[in-house]
Amino acid sequence: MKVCAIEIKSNKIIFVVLEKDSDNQITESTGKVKTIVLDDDHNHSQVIDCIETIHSHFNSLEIDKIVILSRSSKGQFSSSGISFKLEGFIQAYKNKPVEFVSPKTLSAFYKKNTLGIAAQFSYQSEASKLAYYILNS
Amino acid sequence: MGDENVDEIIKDFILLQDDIVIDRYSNGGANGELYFGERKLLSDRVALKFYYYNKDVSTHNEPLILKSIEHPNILKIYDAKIIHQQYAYFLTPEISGGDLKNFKDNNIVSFYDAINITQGILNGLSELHKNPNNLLHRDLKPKNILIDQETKTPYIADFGSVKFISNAENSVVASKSTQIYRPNESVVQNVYNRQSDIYQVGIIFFQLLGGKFPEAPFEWLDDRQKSKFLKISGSEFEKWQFIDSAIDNLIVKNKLLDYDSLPAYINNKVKAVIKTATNKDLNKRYFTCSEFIKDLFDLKKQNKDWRIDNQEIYANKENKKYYRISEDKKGYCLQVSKNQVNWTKDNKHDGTLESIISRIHKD
Repeated sequence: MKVCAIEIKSNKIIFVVLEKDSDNQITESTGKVKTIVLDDDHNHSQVIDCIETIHSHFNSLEIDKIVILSRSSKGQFSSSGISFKLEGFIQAYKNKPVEFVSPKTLSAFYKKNTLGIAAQFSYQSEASKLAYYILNS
Repeated sequence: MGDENVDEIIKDFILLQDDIVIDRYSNGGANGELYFGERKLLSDRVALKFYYYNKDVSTHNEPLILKSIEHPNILKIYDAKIIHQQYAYFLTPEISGGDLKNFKDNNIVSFYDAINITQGILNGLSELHKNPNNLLHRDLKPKNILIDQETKTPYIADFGSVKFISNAENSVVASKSTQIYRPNESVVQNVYNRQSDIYQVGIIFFQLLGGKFPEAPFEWLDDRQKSKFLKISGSEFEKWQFIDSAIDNLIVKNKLLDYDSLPAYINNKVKAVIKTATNKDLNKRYFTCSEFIKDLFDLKKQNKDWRIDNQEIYANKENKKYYRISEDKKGYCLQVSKNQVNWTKDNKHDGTLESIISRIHKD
């Protein structure tokens, strides 16, 4: 199973791709595209380019599913509007299932389990946790 | 129509058509005869490509590939028919701008155009590359890309060199593509893989940005090679071999592209993308089309849309602010405008082209 885990932070999509083989060995295969940033969500051509870039990235990954770390849409700590646009761009990808996992589910898992891989960069830590959870839950 | 040298079998077939009014012939079609016309009932322009047909060999690959892959950047196929035991044809839309070489020679291609067209080619290519298609084009060059005159959408065409690469294979044998589009691995080891297609798109990107190759074969040679060349007393074949080997040498040394031939506004970040796409070392070259597409996406965000028109350089930022650089008696002058009608002079530079371009880049 190969999964692409995504954390959306403001206007940035952070990717981590993990694969589990038949011997339960987990390998990281994120590749060179680790983030995609939408600088101007009112710029029509940039929005279209962004969608195409994200979808072309998914096409090249040959993954089984895409999982997004969900964020609060209400209240004082709700996430930025652009992040929900990015979420929509990802959900519009038709070729693979796109699912959500809440931060609560993730923290409950890591109360009983430890992360068995190291994120390549610190900004990928949440996406790494998410990918590892999907492969081991 | 200029089709005097075409086989009578094909010409007879053309004359018999009553649902397509054929009005143009092109001898530019690789591996076949190309006619264009209008479908009477549907009122649309179509292209008919005739090719030598033999049911026992793989000459029929091209229409089969076109039929099996549907993508906005890959030429569609409407129909294919055998017209004689020797010939078959397939019908596709006629793409209004013709091939990319012709389009580039006759239109202004802005910086954003170059990026959009390259992204389109890469999107189509990634469809060919992906599992289970697993196809390598092996002959990507401006002549084999068609482009819509209005939308500037590119379509990958001419699948005569396409080869299937199985999941177990790292590479296949290289094709005899045009020399300047042959990557290092093809020249040195005669092998070709997905990254080799990406290399060819990198060369196309270089050309779309305004990068030039020597027009005369002799100009590929450096001074030492030129004096050696002039001493060759043998046949023309020997002279061509000498030039071919000089070009191969440039490919192998990663020195094929003359970055100084690019317009002055092409900055180092753009050059770095071309260098990554065309790197001779596969470990340093883009591994997938999407890596290349992502860097193009970033370049477009970071740069203004530049173009050269009638010896003046124009740039614009999100169609809100326009810049015009022209030569004057003292050097260069910069004008800015918000509507492209009223231009005002901007003197925050030292009159050199470099300082003006740098000012626009930072604005």
